[in-house]
Amino acid sequence: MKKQKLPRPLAQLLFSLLTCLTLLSTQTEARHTSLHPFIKGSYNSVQIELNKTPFLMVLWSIDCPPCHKELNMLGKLTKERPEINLVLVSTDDISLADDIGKTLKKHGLGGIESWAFADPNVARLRYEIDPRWYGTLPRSYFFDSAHQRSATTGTLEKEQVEDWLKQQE
Amino acid sequence: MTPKTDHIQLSFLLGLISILFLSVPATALSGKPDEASNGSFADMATAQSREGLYISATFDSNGRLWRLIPTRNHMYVDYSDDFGQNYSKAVQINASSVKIKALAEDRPSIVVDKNGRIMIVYFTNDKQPWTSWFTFSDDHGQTFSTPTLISDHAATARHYQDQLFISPSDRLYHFWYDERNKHNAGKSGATLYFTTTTKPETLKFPNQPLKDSNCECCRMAIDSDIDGYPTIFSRFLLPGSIRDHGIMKVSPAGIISGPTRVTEDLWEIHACPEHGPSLSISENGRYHMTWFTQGSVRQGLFYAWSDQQGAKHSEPMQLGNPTALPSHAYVKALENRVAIIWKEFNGQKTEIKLIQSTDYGENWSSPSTIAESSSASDHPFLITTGKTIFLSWNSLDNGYQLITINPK
Repeated sequence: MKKQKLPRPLAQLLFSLLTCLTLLSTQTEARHTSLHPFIKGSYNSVQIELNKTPFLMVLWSIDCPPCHKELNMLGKLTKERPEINLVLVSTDDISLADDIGKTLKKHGLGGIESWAFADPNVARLRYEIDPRWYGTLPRSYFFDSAHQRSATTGTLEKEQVEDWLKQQE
Repeated sequence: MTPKTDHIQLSFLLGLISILFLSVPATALSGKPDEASNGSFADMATAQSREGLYISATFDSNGRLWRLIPTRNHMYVDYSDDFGQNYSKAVQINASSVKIKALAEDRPSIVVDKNGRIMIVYFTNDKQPWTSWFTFSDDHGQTFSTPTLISDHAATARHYQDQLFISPSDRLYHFWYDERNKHNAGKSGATLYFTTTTKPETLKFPNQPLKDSNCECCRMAIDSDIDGYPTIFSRFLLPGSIRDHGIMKVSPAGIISGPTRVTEDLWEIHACPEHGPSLSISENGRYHMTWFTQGSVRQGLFYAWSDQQGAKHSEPMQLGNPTALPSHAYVKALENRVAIIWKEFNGQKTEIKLIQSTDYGENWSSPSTIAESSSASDHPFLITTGKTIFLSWNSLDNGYQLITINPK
């Protein structure tokens, strides 16, 4: 089957139109849900933003049942301990912003800083966060004030987070 | 906590640029819309959706390659009679738009029986959340039946990891993990269910439970044993939250062998590994198995064979470079040959590695790189015509590739 090439001006016009539509739809989606697109460099951006501040970064997915259990715990904990610096990163595609937003709201985490993977090359995003991480979820990183981090795979227990909070006092 | 506005705006802008940059190749390559008439795959073009990556493929008994292609709102089927050089016009399966759910680890499934009947199961998350639909074609893929629900608890229980299996005698099996029993006392993980029929056109699918406590996040591996029964190698959820692997053989009446624990890696974890195993059974009855673990006994990607249906197996052989995240191995046996592929990632590039054996897995070649991608990519699979083994792999930058695995 031969490919039929479009005339260049028409192709450029279509490309521009697609560009505008893509930008518009994504922008609307992201604003609607207050989800930040997690892309190359976002991992460093989060750390720069939280300079000298201890924080907990939790990576999760709507397709991961153990993640929902953890989100439920975190929703309760953030009400008891509103001082916790929690950053949530959904490894789902940001095009699923509505589903991600519903899940966060369901667990009382609608007001927490949240990101969603916005690059289909998830391997590259994961590698930037941690070159030894195979993608198992949930994955959590506890950062101290010097941003030395410790990683945990699997559902966090409330006591683990409380112990870490105590260490940061 | 609220991040500084200017920082977020910058990240947001970078995100949009990234999305914009990536959206074009996603559109142009994954579904090859220019090779499908009537603007098929149009709904793949609206964003950088990952769904279009997860193409499942199989050969029919005449050597025709059939591809099942998910997009955001529709499923498509096309075929190739020249091993992927050219593809037919794609046929849309679902008439009305629905939210298709497709993941590398939880993907649509396609089988073709000896009479050429094409059977498909695909997954949606729409008004009816997290369930799968069956459809078939008796006219060589020109038209498909109205999609039918498989689960008789679809309204109340989600399910995952649906897979079709066609036996050598053309009996259809459909396996899946179901949450309907999840809240029963003492139950953890999902229950493996199945339905089987020799008359799928009747659309009668009595649901039967097989085994509780399965790790719902990992794809199960299914192959036909030499007696023709489907044999399932999968990640069990064992007491103490141990997620090791086991095996079982199934007949229309239920489990006829096992479930037997195979791996003793002691991976204790409350998490979704999202790394399902692989199984291929040689003509001599030898089971060839690959799996991923981060257990206390061993960590990484492994291969072993068993002449005792998984009850005892060879010493696990580690696959890949441990510093390059080796993952998603797939094994295929054909006569005395065995081929294993897996993914490695160095931070920039994904490579598909291959090793081969010509003596039923006793001795192996050194790893070679047979494909690579600098973009997002699907899990790699091995499919066979019965004479030749092929790599079936999709990536955003190179599109769908069917690569012949020549004997070493």
